Amino acid sequence: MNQFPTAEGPLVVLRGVGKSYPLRAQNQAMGRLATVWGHLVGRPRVTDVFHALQDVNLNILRGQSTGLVGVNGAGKSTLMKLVAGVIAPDVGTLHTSGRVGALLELGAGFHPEYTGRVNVQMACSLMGMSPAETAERMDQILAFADIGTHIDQPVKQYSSGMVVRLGFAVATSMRPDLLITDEVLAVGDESFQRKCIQWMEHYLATGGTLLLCSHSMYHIQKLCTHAAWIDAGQLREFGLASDVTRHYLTWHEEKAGAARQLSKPEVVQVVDASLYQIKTMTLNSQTNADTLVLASGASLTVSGTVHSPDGRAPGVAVGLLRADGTPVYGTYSDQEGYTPRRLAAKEYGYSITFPDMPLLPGRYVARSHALDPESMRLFDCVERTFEVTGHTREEGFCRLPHVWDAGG
Amino acid sequence: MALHEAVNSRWLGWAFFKRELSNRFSGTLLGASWAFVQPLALLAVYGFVFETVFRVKLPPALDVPYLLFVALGLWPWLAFSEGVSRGMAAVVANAALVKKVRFPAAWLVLAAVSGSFVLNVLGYALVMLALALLGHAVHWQGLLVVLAGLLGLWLLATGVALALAALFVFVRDVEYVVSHGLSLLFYLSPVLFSVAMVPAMIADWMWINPVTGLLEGIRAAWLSGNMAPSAAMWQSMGVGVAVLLVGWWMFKRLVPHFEEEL
Repeated sequence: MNQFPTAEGPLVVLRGVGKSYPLRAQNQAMGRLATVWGHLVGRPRVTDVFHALQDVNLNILRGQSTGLVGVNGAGKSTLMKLVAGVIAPDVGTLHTSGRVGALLELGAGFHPEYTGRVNVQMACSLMGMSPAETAERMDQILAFADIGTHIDQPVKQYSSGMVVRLGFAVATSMRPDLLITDEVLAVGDESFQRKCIQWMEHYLATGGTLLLCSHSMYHIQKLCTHAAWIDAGQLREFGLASDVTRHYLTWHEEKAGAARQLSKPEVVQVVDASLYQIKTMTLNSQTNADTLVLASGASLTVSGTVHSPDGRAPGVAVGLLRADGTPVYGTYSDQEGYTPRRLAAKEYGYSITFPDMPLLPGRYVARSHALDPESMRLFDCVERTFEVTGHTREEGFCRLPHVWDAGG
Repeated sequence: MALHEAVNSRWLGWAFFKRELSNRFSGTLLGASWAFVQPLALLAVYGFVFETVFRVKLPPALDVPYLLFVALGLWPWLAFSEGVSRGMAAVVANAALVKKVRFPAAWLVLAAVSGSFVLNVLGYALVMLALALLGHAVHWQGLLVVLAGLLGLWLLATGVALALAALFVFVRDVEYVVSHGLSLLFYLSPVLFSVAMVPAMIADWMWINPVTGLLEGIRAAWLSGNMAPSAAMWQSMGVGVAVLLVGWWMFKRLVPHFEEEL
C-alpha cells in the first residue's frame, strides 16, 4: 500500500476507449469475406456488435496499483487485454509508458510437447529478451519455480500446479513497471502462494505497479491502492480501493436482497386504525429523506412514533440488517422492560440508541416493528437505509472486541 | 509489423524459426531425415510413372536423364508449396498465443515459410552433391542464379503465406482451397516437364505463373551454367516482391482483428 511520488506522469492513460466485438449470427463464408474486405479497405462492415467496453477514461499512475472489480462479462478481461496491448481499441486513445508485463492465464503459451526449459526460453523471447538475457535469468527463474528436475521433462507431464509455478516464475523475472494479472495469486500449493504474495509485496514496495483483476476483495484491498469498478462495459467508479470495493459489495448485497424480497412476508401497508403500527421512524432525528451516512464507531438512534388503537402502550421491536437482508441484531422492548412514552391518546414515542456502533463500513437497514402490548403479535415493518463509512480491511460486518497478544 | 518492431523482436523471430525446425521432427523416429526421405520417395515415384510407364521424352536440347531433370525442380517446388501451406496455418495453429500475448504475429508466418525453405534447400544441396559425385554434369557456376531463384520463390511464398494466413483466421475454407490449389499448381508449373515441351499457345499462358519463370531459371542455371538470371526470372522476382508487399499489407490490415476472430 505504498504511495509513490507520481511526478513522472501516468503509466496508463485511457481516453474514451471503446472496444466492440462483432456478433456472428451466421457463419456464412460470403459474410466472412465481406468482413475481411471491410477491414482491408478500412470501412468495417456494419454488423451487430457487442460493446465489451465503452467510453472508458482512466489514468493509472506509477505506484498506484489498481484493482479491477466487476461481475463476469463486465469487460474486465477486455480492459486488461487492451492495456496489455494484445488488442487495440476501436475508438478512443490508449497510451502506456514503461515496461508492461502481462500475466493473462499463466502458462497459456506453453507448448505441451516441449520441456519446461524450452518453454521458458520461448516465453522469455515473447517478452522481448535476447538469448543472452534469457540465459542470465534462467537460474533465477528455475529457483523461483522450484520444480526440480521436472524442468527438463515435457510440459504435458506437468501437474497444473507446476505449469502455473513456471508461468509465474517467468513473468516475475522481467520486473515490469506495470504488471497486469488476473486470478493468479491463488496458484500452486500453500508455500508457493506465500512465495507469490511475498514477491508481490516486494514488487509493490519497490515501486512496482499492479493492474489486478480479482474477485477477492481481500486481495484488491491488500495489494491495490485504487480500484476501478467495471459494469456492463463502462467504468462505473474509480477511486480508493476501500471505497470502490465497499460500494461494489454493497451493490451485490442489495441485488441479492432484492431477489429475496419476494419470499418475505407482506409488509403491512394498509393504514388500518384498528391495528398497532409504526407511524414515523427517523434515524439520528434526521428529518429529510436522504440516506443517513454514519462514520464507523459513531452512535445511532432509531426513534419514532407508534399508533395504538386502544390507547394501551404497544411493544416495539428494532432490528439492524445488512443491505442484503442478513440480520445483524434485533431486540424487543418488553424483553428489556422498556415502555414507549405516551405522547397523545393513541400515540406513543420510542427511541433506542446504539452508542459507538461497531458496524463495519457498508450499507445497512434499520427496521422498526409495532407489536401488541403483550408482544405476541408483530404487525408491521418500517425500514430506513443507512450507510456506514470508513477505511478498514476488517472482514465481516461487525467489529468484535479483541486483543492481540504475543501468543505462543 | 513495422521495421523497428521487427528489429526489436528479432530474437522472437529466431526462436519461432528454431521451434519450427524442431517442430517438424520432434517425436518422429527418423528425425530430420524425413526432410530428405520423402522427396526422394516422390522422385522415385515420378521416375517410375513418367519415365518407365509413360516413357516421357525430353526435347533433344535437354540432353539429361529425366530423373535428374525432375530433381532440379522438385526440391525448389517443395520448398515453395510446403512454405505456403505451413505459413498459411501458422497463425491459426498458435491461436492461444495470439489471443493472450502481445507480439508481432507475422514472425509465425515468416518462421514457418523459412523453416520449409531451409529444410528443403538442405535436401536439395545433398541431392546436388550426390549427383555431382555420381558424375552428372551440373554447372556449379550457375549457383548464384539458383540462389536468386530460390530467393524469388521465398519472396513469393512469404507474400502468399502472409495473405493466406490472415485470411485463414477469418475464413476456414482457405485451408481446402489452398491444399487443392497447390496440387493443381504443381501440374501447371514446370516441375515434371519443361515449358519447351508445351504447345506454344499454352506455353505463353504458363509464364503468367511466377513459379514458372523461377523454376525454369533455376534449372537452366544448373544445366547451362549461366551466370545471370534471364529476363523471365527477373520478372518473376519482381512479381515475388510485389506479392510480398501485398501480402504484408493484407496481414497488417487484418492483424488487429485476429483476436476477435480466433
